[in-house]
Amino acid sequence: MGVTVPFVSTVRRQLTLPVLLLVLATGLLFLCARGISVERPYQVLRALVVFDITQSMNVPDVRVGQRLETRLAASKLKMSALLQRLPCGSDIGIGIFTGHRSFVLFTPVDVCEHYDEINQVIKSIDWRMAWAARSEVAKGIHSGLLVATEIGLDTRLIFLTDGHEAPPVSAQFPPKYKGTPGDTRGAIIGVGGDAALRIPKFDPNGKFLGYWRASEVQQIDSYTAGRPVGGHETMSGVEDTDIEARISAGQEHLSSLKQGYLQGLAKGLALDYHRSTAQLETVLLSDSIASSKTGQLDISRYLAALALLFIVLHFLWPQRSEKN
Amino acid sequence: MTWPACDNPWLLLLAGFAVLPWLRSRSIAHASGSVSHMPMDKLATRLLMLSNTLASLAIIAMALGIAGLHKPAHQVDRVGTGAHVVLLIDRSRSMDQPFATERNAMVGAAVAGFESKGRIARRVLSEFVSNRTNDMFAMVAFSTFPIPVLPLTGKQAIVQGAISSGDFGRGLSQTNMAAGLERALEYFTNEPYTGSRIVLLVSDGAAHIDGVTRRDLTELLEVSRASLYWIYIRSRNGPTLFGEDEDYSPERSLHDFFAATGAPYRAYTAESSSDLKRAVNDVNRLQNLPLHYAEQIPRLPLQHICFLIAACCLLPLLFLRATEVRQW
Repeated sequence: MGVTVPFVSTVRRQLTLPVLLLVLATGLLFLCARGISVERPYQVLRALVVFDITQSMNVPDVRVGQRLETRLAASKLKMSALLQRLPCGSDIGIGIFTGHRSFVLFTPVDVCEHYDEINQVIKSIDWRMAWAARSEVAKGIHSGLLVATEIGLDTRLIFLTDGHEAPPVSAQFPPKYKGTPGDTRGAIIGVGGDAALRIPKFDPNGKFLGYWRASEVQQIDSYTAGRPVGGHETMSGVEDTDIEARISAGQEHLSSLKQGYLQGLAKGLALDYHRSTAQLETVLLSDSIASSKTGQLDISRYLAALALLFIVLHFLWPQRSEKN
Repeated sequence: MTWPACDNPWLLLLAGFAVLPWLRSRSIAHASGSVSHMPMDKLATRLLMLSNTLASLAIIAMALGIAGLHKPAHQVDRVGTGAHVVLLIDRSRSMDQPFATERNAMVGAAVAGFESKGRIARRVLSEFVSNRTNDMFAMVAFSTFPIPVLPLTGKQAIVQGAISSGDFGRGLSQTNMAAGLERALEYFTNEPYTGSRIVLLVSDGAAHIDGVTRRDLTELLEVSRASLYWIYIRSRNGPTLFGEDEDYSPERSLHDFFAATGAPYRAYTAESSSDLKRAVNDVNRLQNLPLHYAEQIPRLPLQHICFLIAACCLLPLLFLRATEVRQW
């Protein structure tokens, strides 16, 4: 019992500010060694990325650095770059579009864990995977949205296209979306140049065969064109007075980025529209598309820095004041 | 050997504070005014040396931890038992048709809720993949043209993601199995032989392969040294591959052709779960050559160990300081 009092007084005498700093530093460091994290919300992207692989995407009119790349190549480069910058916890799935529908290659998986795989899949995407020669962009976007809705878990749709519809759509009877606009959010990314250019034609082995000619593509929409019996038998209710003139004036064998058309589609489907030249990682991690996750942020390093400050103060504490 | 690295190497400059304890110990000496007042004490000198060393060590360890010391993610070559499996999936429209189970046959396709051949195929595959965790899987889907879906990977999640993608949307148009098979074998032809190779075909087999293509395929199978496993998804009222059936069906023709290629070939039907088990067991039994693969070693953070070392260095220092006699 007799020992207690002198001991306490010793502790009191010894517990000077420098020693207190040392005690605090040691305590902090033990906490840091266990690892201390705080919850922190951050933005991630969970999306099905659909690439338009139709033939108009082979037009080389997108400047990437010093070179002109085809629209498809530019789309792929853009998405590879985006992949690198997405925060971990983001999930990306890949699909391709041709004909009238989006075809899923794989459903979204974590970008950090599967970075190499996703990147390789993007690289391997090729127009030769196409199973149909048509390019019904609006229907493709519609099916992409329906698939993303079906995948669920708030999967967004990112659809890269030049907006070139082949055959052209009827202004009177545009394709109708079966879902509800806004059910699935996302963005249409417009790829391509503003000037109308010829569309290259290749054989299945990739050999260049020339360009699509005006007479080889459908110049007017299917409603107006109607059934090919003895000239044209147009569907009733469709304006058909100057069909021949419209066909001969048709420019559907040339292709450019149809920005106005895509913006209109995006608006009707409650999607965002961006041109591929935009800072995609910024716009796609915006509030309208990104989802918020809470992650654990390890703050051990900051606390350790505080501990280091205490140690430094401990050693810098003026010694003279302690002298009698 | 992968060397440790720091996230922010410039923060290592903080380690410079390690000289602080040594500067201070000099200042104590000065503070005493006259050395002759100090008793000669070897123990005290040693203790001071010890406490300074501990303090310096602690500061260096803290600097390393604050700079984010870690062992970066890297690959290690490993040898295991497993196989390289290319999943060759039929995504043609015919796979949307009902599957030949007894239940399906009874209720008929007209009744909603029948299981399509494609859905059965995906369930079978998904199970197969999850039973073979050491294998590397690639995937090719085929319809009118082959669509390479996945490169060879050992990551189950993305393989399952690729299998389940078939649940969304209907099948594509035609069945061009030969092109799909060629594309699948291409995964192997340009790669060094580092383990058992399997092409696992999942199809209802409604395909015709012409003579020239048959020759090409036979040659490709030989060059690539791959085994061919066919999980036959039988249509309702579809022909069987085995048995007495004398009718010559495209499915039977395909089966006979595969058997005649000379490549190791097995066919399974997906009509009962025991059949699938047989397939998994056969692969287990037959395809366990040593497989060279690169294992991805994730990043190993070392900062917490640094902080622990620092804290452990500070504890005895704290004890020394707390018991230090400053006043005479």
